[in-house]
Amino acid sequence: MTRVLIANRGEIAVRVIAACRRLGLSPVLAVSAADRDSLGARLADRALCIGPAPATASYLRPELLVEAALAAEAAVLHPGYGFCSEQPALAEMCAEHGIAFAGPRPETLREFGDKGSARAAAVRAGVPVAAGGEFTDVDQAHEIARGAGFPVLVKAVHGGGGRGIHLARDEDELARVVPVAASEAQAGFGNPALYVEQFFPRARHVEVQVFGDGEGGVVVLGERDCSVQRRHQKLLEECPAPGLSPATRELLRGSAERLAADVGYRGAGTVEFLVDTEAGTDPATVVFLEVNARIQVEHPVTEEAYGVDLVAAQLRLALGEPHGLPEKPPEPQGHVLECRINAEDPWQDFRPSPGRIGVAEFPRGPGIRVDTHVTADHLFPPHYDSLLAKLIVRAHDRTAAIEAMRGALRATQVTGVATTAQLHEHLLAHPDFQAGSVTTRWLDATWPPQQHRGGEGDTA
Amino acid sequence: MTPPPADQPPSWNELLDLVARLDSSPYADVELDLPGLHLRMSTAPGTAEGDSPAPAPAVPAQPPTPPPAEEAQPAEAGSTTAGAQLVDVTAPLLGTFYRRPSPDADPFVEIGSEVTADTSVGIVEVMKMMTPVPAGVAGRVVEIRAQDGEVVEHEQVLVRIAPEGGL
Repeated sequence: MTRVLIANRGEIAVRVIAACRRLGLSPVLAVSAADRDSLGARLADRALCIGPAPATASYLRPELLVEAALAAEAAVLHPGYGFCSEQPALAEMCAEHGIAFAGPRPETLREFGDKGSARAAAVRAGVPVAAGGEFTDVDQAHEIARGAGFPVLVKAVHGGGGRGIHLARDEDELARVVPVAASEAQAGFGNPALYVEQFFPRARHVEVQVFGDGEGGVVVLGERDCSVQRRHQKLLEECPAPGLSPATRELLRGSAERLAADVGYRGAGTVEFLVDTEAGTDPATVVFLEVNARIQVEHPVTEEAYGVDLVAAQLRLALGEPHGLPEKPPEPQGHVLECRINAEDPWQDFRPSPGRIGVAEFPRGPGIRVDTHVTADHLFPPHYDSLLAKLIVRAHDRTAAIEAMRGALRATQVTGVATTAQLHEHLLAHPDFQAGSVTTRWLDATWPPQQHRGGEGDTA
Repeated sequence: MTPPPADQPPSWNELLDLVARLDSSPYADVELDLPGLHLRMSTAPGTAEGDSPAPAPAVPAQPPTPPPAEEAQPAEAGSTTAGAQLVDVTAPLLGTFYRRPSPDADPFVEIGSEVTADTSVGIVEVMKMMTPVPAGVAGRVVEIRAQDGEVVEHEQVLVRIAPEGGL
């Protein structure tokens, strides 16, 4: 039986195990000492303990993951998301040892792992990017900023994950933030290189799901709107992105497809964009943000909207088979929402809330999918991220999906830890969200509510 | 889910009690089969193991689900199995266990070897990176649980040591 080493944990480990079962593959899970008794460890055919609980001594060590794959005699390694999923070192080590890596080629990971080369690749493929560019001194920064127009963002060329970004509203502020940003970039990413680009204060985060066959063939599976974010962390996603004109959709999809085809992209990937509808043009202003060269947390909204299994497609492709996705996927009928239920307390500045889970009841019913690794009595460890479950609902239109999700949230009961479920109930009831085009800064202005009554009527 | 007591493995305390009684009895070698447990004891060093290269682990199934008392201790430092007074030296990470520094060298330790806390009992190799495993405690090696060249998991017991002044 062909074995797959799953180099991840939590809900995505459970998700990959399900895809293995679907394809008749044998899943083997690499676990840390904290995850020996996890749901994934129980569901897999075998769990191999690779190291102690801290991720730096276990899940973040490519050599341990590959060693586990060799010990398991696995044909494929699936990296999940986060941890080593976009580390060229893991993909390279897999190749050296004859293990198929279920992800892009190492050179693709390297190209998109660096903001400078990612932006250059986008420009080469004719993908719109924000006005701006790299600079070497403050004078040059001012020149570029004047060309782009204030306000601007100063970012580390080698940065990522929303870190090391500074806003400058005018020339004085730019002069102040450049030295700070340079030293932060040096300290955080080992390189002081910076670039400056135009800032869009009222933009939406819209991303395109692509799947490449590695030889230039690319399937495009529509857009997701992930504008509901707290400090660059996504909380609620939907597919399709609401309220975009056909021309804007075409611009997004065409751009993503060209970029993926241009690099001969292999496997599942996401091209992220900002969409600024302020100017009222058609198509709207679209600028490239980055490529996430892996399966993403929010992939289920696309799967449910399009009726596909992206993880199974990754595994098939890694095994050298056709990925099995439709070449021209039919447009989805209906609407899909996903709420991330995190073990965090939204009333205490989203403080992580690990601990022993008491009750864990999740909704069931038509159009409801729950991706989770949490069961009653599970000890939710403090060592990793706080994602506890993803509630995904599908309905015939967006209004019905919002109603269905509100019902699903009411039917969710998790005790023992604080969760973000209540926050989602508040967001879904909010007229701004219901109107369907909130920006990436909306949540920070909306939560916590002015009066702690959590109802409508409390607009910012 | 309350099977009759006769079908249950003995509790930890019952086991300690049993070991203490056998220890003070005149038997040199004892082998017992209890529900869910196989116990083998010997007063002579090495004899309980015989010459068989792979002694059957006393507890079947997956490597270690160590008694709760051990949890707090770092893996490399080994963990004291309270009553039996043997210290488990466990693998600090997943990898290939080697009992010798090189293929033609003598093993780091054998059953009966005297060790200090710093004595290497073996190495764990991960992608050509060698991690020595120190005994973590001074004493005498009484059991070797992992074979040369075997893939071991994190916290898997490699050797067991009777600490100095212990037994």
